[in-house]
Parts: sequence; C-alpha cells; structure tokens
Amino acid sequence: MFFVKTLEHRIDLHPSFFSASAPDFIKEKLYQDVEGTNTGTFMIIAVLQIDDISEPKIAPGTGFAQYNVGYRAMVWRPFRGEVVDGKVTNVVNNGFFADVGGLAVFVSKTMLPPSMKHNAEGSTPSWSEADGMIIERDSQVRLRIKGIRGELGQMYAIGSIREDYLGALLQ
Amino acid sequence: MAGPPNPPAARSTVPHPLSRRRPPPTGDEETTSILRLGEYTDVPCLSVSEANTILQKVIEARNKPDESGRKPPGMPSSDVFTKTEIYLKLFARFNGEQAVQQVESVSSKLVGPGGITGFERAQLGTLCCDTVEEARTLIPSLEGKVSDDDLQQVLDDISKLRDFS
Repeated sequence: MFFVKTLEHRIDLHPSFFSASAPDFIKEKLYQDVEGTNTGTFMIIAVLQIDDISEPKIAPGTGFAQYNVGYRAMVWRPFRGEVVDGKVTNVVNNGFFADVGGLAVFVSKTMLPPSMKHNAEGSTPSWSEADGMIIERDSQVRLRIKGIRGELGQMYAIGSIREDYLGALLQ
Repeated sequence: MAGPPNPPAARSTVPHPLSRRRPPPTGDEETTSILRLGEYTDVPCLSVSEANTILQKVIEARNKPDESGRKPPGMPSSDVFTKTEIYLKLFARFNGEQAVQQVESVSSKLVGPGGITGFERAQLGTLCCDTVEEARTLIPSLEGKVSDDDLQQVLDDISKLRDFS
C-alpha cells in the first residue's frame, strides 16, 4: 500500500559546499541518498516535499556540517493479509514468482487452488485449470500477501491465490 | 550540577550508544479481518491510480531544467524505482487527474467514524471490485463497517469512472 510518510534524514555536508546554494546541495543529496531505497520494511519511491532543513551543526572533530532534513515521501509498505496485483515473472514446478512493484512474491503450489496443474512442456511453463485461468509469464494476478520477511535492503514475501476473487486477472 | 552522584562506573567493554536506535517494527502488523497498521495508522494512503498520478507529476517536475539552467536532478535509477514506476503505469485503473480526483471524492464519502478507514478507501480505489461480496472478501476488515447499499453505490460510481482503453 502506498503512503505519504513524514521521515527524517541526517545529511553531512562537506565544507567545500558551504555557500549560498547549500540548501540545493542538501536537496540533491537527499534525493540521491533516500529515493529508490528499500529499508527492509518499506520502500521509498520519491521525495514529495521537503518540510524543513534544520540549522547546520558542525560535528566536532570533522569539518562536516550536519543537517536534519524533515521531508514527506511516497513510500510503499506491504502488509500481511493485503490483496495486491502483480505480474508473473517466473513459473517453476513448485509455484510461481510475481513482481509487485519492487517486491518479489512467491506463491507456492500449496497456495494455489487444488484444481491447478503445472504444464512444463512448451516454451512457456504455466499453471492452469481445466476450464479456467492460465497463469504464465507476464500474466497479471491478484494475490494475498501471506507473509513478509525483511532485512536491510531486501524484502521477501509469500502469497496465496487460494481464495475467491484471487488469481489471474482478465486483461 | 545538582543531582545524585554517579554510581561507580562498571567495567564495560561495549561503547555507550551515541544515537537512538530506530524502533524495531513490532512485527504484528496485518491487514486481515482487523487492521493493525502499526506506525502507519494515521498516515495518508494512496491507491495505485493516485500514486501513479503523483509520481508522473514528480517525474515531470524533476526532469524540467532549473531556472538557473542547471541540469535537472532527474530520478533515481535503482531497481526499486524503475520497477515501481512500471508497476504503477501498468496497474493504474484510472488515467487522468480528473478521474482520479473524482474517484477519491466518491470513495471518501464512506470514510469517517463509523465508516471505513483511509487504508480501506485506498484499497477500494486499487482493487475496483464489482460487487459488495467481492469487496468484503478481498478487504476482510470491511466486515460490519458500512451498509451493503452504500458500498454498492460507491462501487458502481467507481466502475463508471473506469477507463477501459
């Protein structure tokens, strides 16, 4: 789920940048440091607005000035139990992988409807039902996130389509 | 300085922490039949279409050259960003700022005490359900919140605004 979250970041500015345009350097450094990062629980997509840049404080022992920047960013945070749409990237005989934005979700065989069978032959392996949906690479699926694990920089999730209204979306 | 004298320093080899550690996520956040959003409880939510509109605007503003003629800052090149941008374009069901704003005002009618939360409103805008049954199955926390008639009315209004191109 996308949120507009208020966050804070500390930036160290080298003395060679102490000039009237220091706030511009701070802004660019903030964009570089924080945008497109994955903290393990959420992903920061883009900085929307910088709320305030604190007064600089020279760190003793170094010449760097420290700024505390308060800003608002669009973040993406997956929740256990949330229903999301994703695009299938890989089909294996144990299930399939789908990308939900920057998160790779694995849906295992046990979380597919029991009527789905794996077809390994042909150039595109797929999971399909006798008279119903086909899931193969590049299909769009609606899945429920069952579990999320995060470590700094990476998130892993497992999902399920074993419920009503989940599974391949008509395109 | 006034205050009690310090106790004799214990022999410790671990250095005193210099900064406060980020509070660890409690780990029990979930959005099943109850909504437990943890630190995201009162944070504004965006549906996929709203996030897409906002991101496109940010990209446009960021790629415009500065007044002083300096090179525009541009957007990050990381995996997270490019994948999210492609994802938003692919799954945004409402294109155009006007349609997105109309969906927001229609779904906001249900928000409030005794109604649905911001999270559920954003979910409705993202999932675009056709029936009340579908909405209540996909968003279990809607159980017991709004009447079926009100919910069906909002779902119908949202479907009307959908762009099927």
